[in-house]
Amino acid sequence: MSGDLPAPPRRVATAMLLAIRIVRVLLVVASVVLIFAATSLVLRGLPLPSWMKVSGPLTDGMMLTFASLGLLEVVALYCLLGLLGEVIATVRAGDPFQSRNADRVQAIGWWMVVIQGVDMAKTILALSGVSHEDMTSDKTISVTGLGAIVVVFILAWVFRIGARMREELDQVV
Amino acid sequence: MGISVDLDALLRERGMSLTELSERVGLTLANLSILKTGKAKAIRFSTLEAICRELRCQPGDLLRYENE
Repeated sequence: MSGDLPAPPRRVATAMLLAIRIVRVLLVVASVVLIFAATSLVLRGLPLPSWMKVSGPLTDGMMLTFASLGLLEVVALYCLLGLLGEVIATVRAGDPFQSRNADRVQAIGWWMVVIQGVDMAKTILALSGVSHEDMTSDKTISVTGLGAIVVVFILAWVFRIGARMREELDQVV
Repeated sequence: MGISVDLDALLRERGMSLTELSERVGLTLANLSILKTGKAKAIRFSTLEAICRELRCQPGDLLRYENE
């Protein structure tokens, strides 16, 4: 039941895949920077570049916490984009309605939960006064993010039912 | 499933191959194989009509209910 995607949408899908690949490479760079920052804080011997230093009352422990949270967020985003890329690749191939994509969309939802969790942890730290304005300026919990997670899980549900219907349709002669 | 498809027997009786039938009714060989092997979940009236026309038979000759 798969069909070839017309040229313009295929080009859009290809451009999106390229953009995702570039962002994932940038995320790898960001994670290396965060790992370097965390390692230098733990070992204390490694000098931090000036642009990574923050002034103010932040302790090394707080900075390590923020670096760990940042790393977790970067890893989650990297995995999320990888899954999104796999979904877009199936769209480009003209065969997106498959149960594996429902699994992928659901996994995207769980990675969004992780990102939202990290965001909330950062907000709680900011509200409790342990953070510094250089580290985070957002002191509100994002309702939009929570709503987006619900939407993604509902979409995964719809996708699963749609994929099952398509599988049944494949068996109609 | 309690419905079985006697396509094999009908083709043998008519001396027709599955490939020839697929060309005559305009269905893919893959779809006819799904029907022949009993893996089909449903059959369209248009498909049934085309098969009955080409095999000169009634729907009851093609489909049979088996009490399991």
